[in-house]
Amino acid sequence: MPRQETALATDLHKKLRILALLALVFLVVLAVAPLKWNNSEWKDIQKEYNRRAIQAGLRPTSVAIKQIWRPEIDLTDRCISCHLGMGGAKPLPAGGKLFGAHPEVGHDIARMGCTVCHLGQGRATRTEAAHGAVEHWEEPMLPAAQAQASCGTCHGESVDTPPTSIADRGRYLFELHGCNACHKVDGRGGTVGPDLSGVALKGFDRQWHIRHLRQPAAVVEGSRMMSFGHLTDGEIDAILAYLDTLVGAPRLIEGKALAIELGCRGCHKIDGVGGDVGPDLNEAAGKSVLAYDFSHVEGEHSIDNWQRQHLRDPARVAPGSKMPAYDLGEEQTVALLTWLRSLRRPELPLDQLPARTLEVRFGSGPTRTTNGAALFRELCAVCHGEDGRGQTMASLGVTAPDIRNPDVLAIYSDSSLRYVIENGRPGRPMPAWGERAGGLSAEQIDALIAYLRQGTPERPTLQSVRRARADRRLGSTLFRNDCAGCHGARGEGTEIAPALASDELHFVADDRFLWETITSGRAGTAMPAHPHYDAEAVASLMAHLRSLAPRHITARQMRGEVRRVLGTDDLANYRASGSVAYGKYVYQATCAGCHGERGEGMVGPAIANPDFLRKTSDGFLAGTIVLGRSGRAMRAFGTRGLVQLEGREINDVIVYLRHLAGSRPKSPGGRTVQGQPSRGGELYKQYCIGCHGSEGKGQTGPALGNPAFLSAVTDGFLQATLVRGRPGTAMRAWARGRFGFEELEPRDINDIVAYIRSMERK
Amino acid sequence: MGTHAGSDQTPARPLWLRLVDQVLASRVGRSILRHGYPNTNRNRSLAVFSNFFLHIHPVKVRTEAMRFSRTFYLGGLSALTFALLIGTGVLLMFYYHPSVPRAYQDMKDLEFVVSAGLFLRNLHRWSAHAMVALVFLHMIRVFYAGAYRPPREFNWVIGVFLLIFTILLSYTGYLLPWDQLAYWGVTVGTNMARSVPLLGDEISFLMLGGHQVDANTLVRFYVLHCVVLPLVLVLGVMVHIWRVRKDGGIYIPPEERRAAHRACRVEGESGREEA
Repeated sequence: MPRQETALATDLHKKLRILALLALVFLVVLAVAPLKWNNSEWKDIQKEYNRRAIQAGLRPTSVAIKQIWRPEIDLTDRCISCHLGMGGAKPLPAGGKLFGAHPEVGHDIARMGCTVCHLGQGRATRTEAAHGAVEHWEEPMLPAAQAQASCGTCHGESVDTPPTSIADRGRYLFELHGCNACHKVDGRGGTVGPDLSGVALKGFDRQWHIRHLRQPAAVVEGSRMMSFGHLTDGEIDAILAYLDTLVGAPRLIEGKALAIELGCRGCHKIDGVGGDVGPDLNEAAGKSVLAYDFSHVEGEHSIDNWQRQHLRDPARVAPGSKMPAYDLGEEQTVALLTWLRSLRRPELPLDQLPARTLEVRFGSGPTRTTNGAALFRELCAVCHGEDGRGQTMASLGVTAPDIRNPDVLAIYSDSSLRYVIENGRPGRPMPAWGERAGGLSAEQIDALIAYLRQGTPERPTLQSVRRARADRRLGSTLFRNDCAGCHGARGEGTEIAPALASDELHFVADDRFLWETITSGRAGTAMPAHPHYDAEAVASLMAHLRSLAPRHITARQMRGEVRRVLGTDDLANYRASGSVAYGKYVYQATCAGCHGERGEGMVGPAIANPDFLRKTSDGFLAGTIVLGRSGRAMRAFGTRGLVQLEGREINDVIVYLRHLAGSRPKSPGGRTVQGQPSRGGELYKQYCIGCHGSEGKGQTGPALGNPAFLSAVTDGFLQATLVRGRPGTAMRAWARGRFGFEELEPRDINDIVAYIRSMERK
Repeated sequence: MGTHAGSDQTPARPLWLRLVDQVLASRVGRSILRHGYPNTNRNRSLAVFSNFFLHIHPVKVRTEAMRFSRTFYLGGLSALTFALLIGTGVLLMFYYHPSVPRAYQDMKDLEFVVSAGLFLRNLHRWSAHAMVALVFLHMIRVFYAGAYRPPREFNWVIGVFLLIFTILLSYTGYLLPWDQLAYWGVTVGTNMARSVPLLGDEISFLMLGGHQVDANTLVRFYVLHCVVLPLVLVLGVMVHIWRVRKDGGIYIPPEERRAAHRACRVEGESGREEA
């Protein structure tokens, strides 16, 4: 029994010893965690700070975690636990990144926080984790060289960057006139005057700067700056444009100017404005590093590395990408990437965003430029070329058309151009630029159209035409080349265009009417503008036209007839007034049979054409109704006609016509051609199919069956293109039998147009 | 163990023992402990009987039941990890807000600014993993030892429910860090529930408190994880252990028990115990 007792006791002791050992191990494990905590990196750094602070004669700081806390945007940044100089404690001189102060920026760092600009993980207290260089952290720190990107995330929308050329000239003038001698800009220059690196940071008052440049002492009390009153307005404009870019973020501004130069917005949407060929850049910039596909990227998995390689070879990094490759220098690459990263739009509460940004985002802020040249540069030039002359886009596999071709512009009315810009060309890379698609306002599109038209020469004024000497030979040559195709060799008129050899026409049409029609054309018809004619050419052509009148009736006879019906023969000053309702009644009974129910044109021309009505006087219309056009379908409705209208009735019809034109919707009308599609189809197969393909599918020539194209153009546009061709392209003029080419009759042209039109309905 | 009939007390008791006896014999002492220092068999028995924590043991424990390889202590260790989880869990609750904007940030604060907070959280996580594993092993052990046989069938059923509640605790705790892993884990889980025939959508809605993992889900899972499930589990464990005690302690297969009886008789002991 005692033996058993001893055995039990030794067994118990053995077990107790094991238990004690286990307990010890557990204690050690328990102790490791607090010990690790006690040896945190930030504590060592803070102790080092205290050592140096005491050396520098400053008060040491308490060793504790320090943080910037902004509950309103849910921000807790403990970065200053290590970067003590930037808010955790008093900065030490020559303290470097840890103990030195933050470089001067427009914000109070201690109130602003760190990750707002630099990203990273503000709550972390270990270097790796805090800098965000850990797995699964979505926002690693921005590369130091790209830190200015964060200026742009909040302020970028409201910073208007002028075209590089203007700002560069401003910078050149700034240095030429020695401003640098007194003022520092981006770390370069004298210290007599204030540092101008951030002069446009808090808004830019142009008028103040102009007055200040002219008379500094009058604006700033005691200023010692010299007056720059001797500068021209242009020079001051350039300098101010340059100063306006000085918001303390030169790299960001450089990147933005570069992006405008490269035309990024031609394909990418930025802040709601831009094409839809490539991805929205705000979305792309907001993507976390975890969302990037690094399978085709060599080296480290950072956004910076991805973007660099993608810029150099987009198709390799993002297979299927159609973006052209850009081989930029290091400086420019960093600037462009800085700008790209700046497009991130963080979900900050609105009251935390700068007022100017809100103005731009929700109102009509200052950046909605209506400078046509700047818009063209930023949005269109990337495809259509800097001069708009068109170019082949190798990566997209298409050729952007020449949109400065005067012949194209001559037959494109403003409304057609607006339609194309607003709606784009579905099926082609041309994106829609309307308010809801590409983000351009109506005013901006008008500015673009005005810019496109800018290159076309100024048409001669009526006075200069009247003064110019008419040359009969020049007139007949011009007529043969430019008019005979539609109006007939002797101006007898064809299915496309009205007769010009008409006594009545020349009686009712004054010089202003002819001048207006020749120089600016007739929107919605085949009549193009001829702004490139000089005064002599217009005068000669007008003289030639006048000479075409056959003189079967004398002016006296016509004047008498007009006086009989209208009571006056002064057509130039004739004003019609009457009732719309009665005019409608007369129109329906008398005119609608030929001109269509709503003046849309049938056998007779489309007289509700707004452009036509705008350019004709009441006298022209009244005279035409009274006299008709002898030899044509237009009968005279005066005292000699089968149907005789009174002057009052004629006035009512004119009032009704003007009412009709005013109430028409703004859609591009001009479906005026009456032709036989079946016959047109045969002709199409004979002449057009070689380039435009069967059923207008397009081959070497453009696809005519494209519904967007057909809805944008008028029948007149198609007629004019067939008649005149498109100089500079393979499309030849079909109405001129020159060089032995076959010639199409006006009727053929109308049939082909009708056939092309019929594709729209398929 | 109970073979030693001790009445041979040495006359000279050490001073500290006499002091302890005096304290225990005092009015306050007796109100707390109703037995003397457990150095006699009687006192030892009384210590077990009158102690709330020790009375879960049966009156008698067989020597062969004490063998390590009999249970591998798996049930006890499961209970121990559960206790550890309650302890660390309560501490974690001091730092945690079950709200969408704060939950994940509280994880970060635990990691970076709470003293040894990372260790606390990891201890909770490790224990949770260990508990699930231990409960599984415990069930495997019980199954292969045949310890579910009558009269212990119902305790096996209780055990199965305890396993389910353990897994539910583990699953509800998964969402609380509110990181991507948690979010998608619970999204996948509730989508699986959705594929249940007929009632799938209703079950998923009930779990999520809506149609997707959101603030409602977080609160739901938090309450389940910190209140409902632990209470149910504590109650279940109590019943489970109580039944083990009532069923005569650790299960010992009948043939081993017979062999033990024979050994007892050979030693001349009175083996009055029934099978």
